[in-house]
Amino acid sequence: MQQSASKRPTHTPVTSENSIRDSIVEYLLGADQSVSGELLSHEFGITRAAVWKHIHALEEMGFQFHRRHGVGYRIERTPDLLLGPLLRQRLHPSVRLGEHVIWKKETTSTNDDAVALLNAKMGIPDGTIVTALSQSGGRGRHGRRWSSPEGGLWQSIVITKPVPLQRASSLTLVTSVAVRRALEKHTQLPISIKWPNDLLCGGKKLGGILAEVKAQGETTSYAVIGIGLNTNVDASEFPKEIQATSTSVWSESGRRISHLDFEADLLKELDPMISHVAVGGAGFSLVSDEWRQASATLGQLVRVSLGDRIIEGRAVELDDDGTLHVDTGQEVIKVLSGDVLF
Amino acid sequence: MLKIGEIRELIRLLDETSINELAIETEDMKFRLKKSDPQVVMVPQQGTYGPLANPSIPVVDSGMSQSTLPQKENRGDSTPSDSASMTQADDSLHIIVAPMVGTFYRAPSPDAPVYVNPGSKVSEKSVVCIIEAMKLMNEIEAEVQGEVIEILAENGQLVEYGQPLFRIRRS
Repeated sequence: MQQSASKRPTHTPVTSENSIRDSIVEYLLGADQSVSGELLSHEFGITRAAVWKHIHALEEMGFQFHRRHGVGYRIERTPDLLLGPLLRQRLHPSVRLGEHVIWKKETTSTNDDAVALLNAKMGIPDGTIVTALSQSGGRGRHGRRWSSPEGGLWQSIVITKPVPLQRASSLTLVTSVAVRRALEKHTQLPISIKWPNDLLCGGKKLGGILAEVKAQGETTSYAVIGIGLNTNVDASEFPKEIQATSTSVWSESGRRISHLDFEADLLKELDPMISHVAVGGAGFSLVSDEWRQASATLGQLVRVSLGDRIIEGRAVELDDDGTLHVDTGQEVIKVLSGDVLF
Repeated sequence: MLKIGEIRELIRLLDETSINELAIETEDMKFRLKKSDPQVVMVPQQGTYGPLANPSIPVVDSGMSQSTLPQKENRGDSTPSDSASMTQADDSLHIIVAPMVGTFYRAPSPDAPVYVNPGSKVSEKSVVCIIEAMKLMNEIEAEVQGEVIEILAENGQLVEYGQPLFRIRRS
């Protein structure tokens, strides 16, 4: 872990406590020898006691330090947590997503946190990731509860660059393709996509995507893409009501994945796709064939709950807007939103 | 038939030029776009499918004339004096239209209270509804301060781009 911190901009302060903590990590990662507590205290304008408190908190998070009296601290081991300085080390040079990370141990919902920060005009940079070890109020469509215990990967990606509103819904579709690519690379599991953007393994839900946008006229003022993935969690510990329909990477493959490595690959896939959607380019159509190939929905007989009614038919087509065409025998209905029931 | 996106492009194009009126006629449709009296009317020549076939769907937000309001508003004998009072009222009325195609929701979740009802007071930043497409939730704000007069779409209904959703009386 002695590789030097990249030439990326340093973490933008969001909460000063976390910012100093992350800066200490960044500093220690970039140093090629032990750094004394005195130097850290001087560098960050905090007391020696405060330095010690940060080091202690980092140890609680899983960092291991080599400490020698009179010499100082050197990082010996880093935990697999999506902390800004740890993720930045792994980001592909061209990737802008993930340069800034707001990490929490626990929260209600990373989407809610991101939206609250954006609405408070806190100056959240484009591409910021809000993540937490666990969520107490994770949710899916229509406010449905999404179980998010420690071990899963719960995050929201903040997009503040304007996206044409008519294209915004393709953000969730391209995200599903990027997540699938990264999942297949890191798990070797066959991953399919259920319309519009659920990730499935063996017919059971492995992850979901839910985006929230606020628009000014015809473009977004922000988009928050929430991604919940059951990675290193034990599916047998899920709430009973979702056990039949949900699974996890760990339960399917018997292996845990590195969240940091996974995330770096996910962002590498996702970054160009989102940029493409934002400039009003083809966006989803670039990867729609991949979506179709991975689809668990196309060609199937499906029941789709449209909110006010349920339609039944064969999912015959996905167009390049992401709209699902369902042939009921009498007519072909174009579905923009709804729950696909098997 | 023209797609919503194409109509939007045409409106933008027209906006940028000094041309006031644009008419397109093909075998299955007639399309006319006019600047001074902003309204878009698509007349199906034969049986066409979809909400666009309804000629009363307006695509323009501002300066909406009476004829672009949904038909139920328009029913009955509209006398000249009616139109006059309507035009007068228009100044204080704000119509919130759907900025994208999607499903219209009046509440954040099925068991949550609705954002607004007729009579609700709103400010510019008040959320009045959500429009969803493909699990992308777009919270729509009132944009003006005032009172909700009427809700023009049903919960769970598919709404088109530009479709009127709320009538708000400015205060």
